[in-house]
Amino acid sequence: MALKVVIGLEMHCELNTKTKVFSKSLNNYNDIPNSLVTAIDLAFPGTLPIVNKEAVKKAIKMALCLNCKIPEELIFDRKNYYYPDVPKNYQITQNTKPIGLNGKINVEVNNELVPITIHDIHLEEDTASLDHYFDYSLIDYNRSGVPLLEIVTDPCIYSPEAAVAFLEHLRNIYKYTDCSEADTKKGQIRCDVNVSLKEENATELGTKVEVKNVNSFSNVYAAILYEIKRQTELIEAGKNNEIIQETRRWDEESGATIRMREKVESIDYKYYVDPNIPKIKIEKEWIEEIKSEIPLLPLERKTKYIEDYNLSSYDAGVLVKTKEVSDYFEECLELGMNPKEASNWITSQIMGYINKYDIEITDIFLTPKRLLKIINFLNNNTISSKQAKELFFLVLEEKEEPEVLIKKYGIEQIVDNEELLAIIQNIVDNNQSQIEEYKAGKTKVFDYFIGMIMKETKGKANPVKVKEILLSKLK
Amino acid sequence: MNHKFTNEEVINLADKLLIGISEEEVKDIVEELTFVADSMNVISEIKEIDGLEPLTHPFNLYETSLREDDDYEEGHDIEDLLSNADFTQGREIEVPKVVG
Amino acid sequence: MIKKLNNKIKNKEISSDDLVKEAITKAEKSQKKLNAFVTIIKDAKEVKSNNLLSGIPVAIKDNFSTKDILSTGSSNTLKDYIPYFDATAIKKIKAAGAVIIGKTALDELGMGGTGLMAATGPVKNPWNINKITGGSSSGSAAAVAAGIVPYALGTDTGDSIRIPAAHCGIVGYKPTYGMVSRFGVFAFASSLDTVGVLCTSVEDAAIVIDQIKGKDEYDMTSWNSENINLLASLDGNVKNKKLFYIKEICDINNYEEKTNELIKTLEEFNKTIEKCQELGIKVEEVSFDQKLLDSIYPTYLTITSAEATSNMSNLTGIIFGPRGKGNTIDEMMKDHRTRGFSSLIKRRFVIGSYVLQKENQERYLFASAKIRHLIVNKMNELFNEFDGLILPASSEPASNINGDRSAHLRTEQYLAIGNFGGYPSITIPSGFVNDMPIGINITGKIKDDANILNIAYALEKKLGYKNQTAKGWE
Repeated sequence: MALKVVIGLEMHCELNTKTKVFSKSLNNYNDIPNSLVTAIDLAFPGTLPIVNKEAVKKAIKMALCLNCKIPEELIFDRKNYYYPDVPKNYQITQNTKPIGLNGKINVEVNNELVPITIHDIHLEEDTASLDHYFDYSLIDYNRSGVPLLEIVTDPCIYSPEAAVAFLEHLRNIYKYTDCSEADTKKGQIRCDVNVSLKEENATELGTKVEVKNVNSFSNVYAAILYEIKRQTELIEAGKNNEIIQETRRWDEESGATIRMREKVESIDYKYYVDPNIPKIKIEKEWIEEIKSEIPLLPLERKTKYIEDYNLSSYDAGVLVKTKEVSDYFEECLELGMNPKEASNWITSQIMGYINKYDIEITDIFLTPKRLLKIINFLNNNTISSKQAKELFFLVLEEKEEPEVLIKKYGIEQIVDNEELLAIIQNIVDNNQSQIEEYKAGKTKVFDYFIGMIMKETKGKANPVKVKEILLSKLK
Repeated sequence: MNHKFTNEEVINLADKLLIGISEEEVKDIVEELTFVADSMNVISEIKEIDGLEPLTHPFNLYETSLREDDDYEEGHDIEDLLSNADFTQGREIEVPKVVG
Repeated sequence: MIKKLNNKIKNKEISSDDLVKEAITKAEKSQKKLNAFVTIIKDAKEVKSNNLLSGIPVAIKDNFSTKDILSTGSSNTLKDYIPYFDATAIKKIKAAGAVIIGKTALDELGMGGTGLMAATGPVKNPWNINKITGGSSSGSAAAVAAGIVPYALGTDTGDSIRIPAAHCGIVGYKPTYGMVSRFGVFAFASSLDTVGVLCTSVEDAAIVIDQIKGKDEYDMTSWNSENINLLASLDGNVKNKKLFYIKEICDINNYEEKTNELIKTLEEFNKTIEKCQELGIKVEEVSFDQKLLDSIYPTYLTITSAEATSNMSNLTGIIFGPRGKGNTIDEMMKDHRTRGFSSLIKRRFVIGSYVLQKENQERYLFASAKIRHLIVNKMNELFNEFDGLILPASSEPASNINGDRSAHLRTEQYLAIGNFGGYPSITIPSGFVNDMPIGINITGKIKDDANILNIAYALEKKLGYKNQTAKGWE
């Protein structure tokens, strides 16, 4: 009996608008509690929601990226439930007509393109945050009303790898379109994971277990694995009926999912259309305008890099991992750099550096313009490739222009034939015995001579020229 | 098709609304609920409603425009925000520890 | 009355200060007999402005947020709530120089139609203190009818301005939905709530609403009414206007229980129709399906209960209002709500909650909302042909405080038509039945406020009850 896992994901992501979605309060992170709060956020009697256009725009943008249908009207609903982090004791969300419906997107999982269908995307407001102490809790409403976009997939994901690949892909799209910072470390992303098992060829889905509020992608992966294990064990022991439809949470410490509540009597949120927000027409022109603002997305860029620039799939993948790196690469191309050359520098040298120091490519002093200078110096033989690497680090560390550093450290390579001839002749003259060995067939001696010459010139000799001259000398 | 409302049902509904009700109040509620249910029976016979959408707003106000994002307001004074709260600690509202 | 007062102030015949002090004194004296006020602002000061309303005292229904002044909604859940901001309508009335001298009692949170459901106790009718004022804008109606203030602000969700106005013999005007901002007004049923005015003349109603109307960025359901000038539209020219009344409501033979008061009220209504015709207004009878009319009350009940239960979920005593007792936060919230709400409110909440449940929405909420749609369609069709609907404001004058109103509540809910479609609707006094005032109500199509007011203006002149207040209640 082969069991197949079926996964559905709900990803909540905070949008990076300037103000909140239904009030004019600023949408920032601020560690001073209740410093970003206005009357509407605290649900004082008589307060009314005012919808933020930019939040709607970003929601539409994401919906378009996921190939969803956009409705003709903007409608918000109330989700009614009592909880201390919901000041109105209802959340304004979308249920009747979500901003995006029936979308589809391809995600790369292990070098294969996997289609994932989107059930819906809807715009809603975030809750306040609770800080728990020994026997009391404190409520901070800074987060209350922050715009949240929820993306809900169909139960169409069939492995934890695919789940994480999808989430990473979505995160990247959020960043590419500048709709969200999408930083899990800042708590901007929360996922609900639905896991069920079914027999390989069964058409009916198994009992669905929901793991709520998972705050990192690695935890999503771990939670799915755990549920697969837990549910498999129960099924194999003949205890299928112990898999109940319930809500669990991921406990990082114990590495397990833990029951929160049973959905035996599932909560009825009494959704209904919010009368305080009139139905608003979503003009086709506006949708077109938003569509035109969407930059080429990661998967599309990757394909372009492979097809148009002949880069390897691996390299192209590295280049599109973040929009910043991809934009850096494209700026290089705009400056006239050879794509393969630019790609090599970025994927090996630059990525290595920024990963080591955990910084962004936008933080480094070595801008595409400056990289171009180094490459030009290399290509016109002013410096050797070894020197180019040296210069690379110097520019990054000392934050000076390449030409200034070349002068400062005398990095220019020796290309002058006469100078080189003299040095090489000198070495050859002083190592006659090795020359005899080489002539006798010990070809390794060649490298020994190269090494000596480079040492003598402090690495400044142009290696190609050295090889040329040495070969002629050894004949 | 008459739904008979039970006391238990009413108490359950009230409970979910975080409201406690007395026996007397339960009685009155059952009575009014029954009236509403009976009325809905009559309403369902009015055939003309079949093709209509539920009206959620009195009329359509399509001239409404959305708020610009950079129209912002600084956070209000903490004294004002908390002036009506009976239990606060520092800048926050204090409640018994919330579990679950 | 406002223009007269304004002139007197300008000519220095009286000072605003005197007017304000007089109003405060009257208000204080009236409390024992009428119990119309929750709060009297004893240190209210005159505010000068270049406006008709400048320096004139006003009373505000206690479901409006008034900065630094207790705003209770006549509910114990808000008995100590002091907002730090003004409702937009309040901002505007203050900007016009109006002097707020008190907050008036209402049927708790706007629910109820008697004036008996305020947390501070029943409000009495100045015409006869053993009778109700009607509700929910009870205190506002009493304060104006008693001559304490020339006008008061109120709200109308089903008839809450227009019935107390009728029972208290004054003018009650509910403008088109969204004409006046609802920001800061405690929500009852958001798709029906409308801010309006109670006063003693149509002219005054026009002046006040002209001042407080306007698109508000804080209320998405408000709209731009810059091109509507109510006062300027009152020219009394109503020849060839067309009104209709609903046969089933106005025909005595349609009623099983023909009380003496009902008979007289409908007779008075017929007389008023004649007066309309004398003015050159055409009045026609239109028939409505009785089933449809009967569905108005249960539909209204369903929709308002559903919206109210959601709107008032914020009343938990956590951020504002007295904190409830308990060991857990759920216990605290439950205690606050159990002790803070009256039985009527709890009843409405449970009904609202029931009809909002997923499995019940189709049968209850959607069905009611479809009836609403049907009625609105019918009305809009009729408004293509007619300028307005004219009806008796209530089937009888104010009943006894200790009497039984349940039957009447059901026959009178037809004014809710005005809220279903967001129509402008005004009640003006039209006569007396057994020494108690009655009123006539005119409802028109949306945004046609100027036209409706003008018809009421002309009729008011003919009827002769302009500036009427109750005498001898002191």
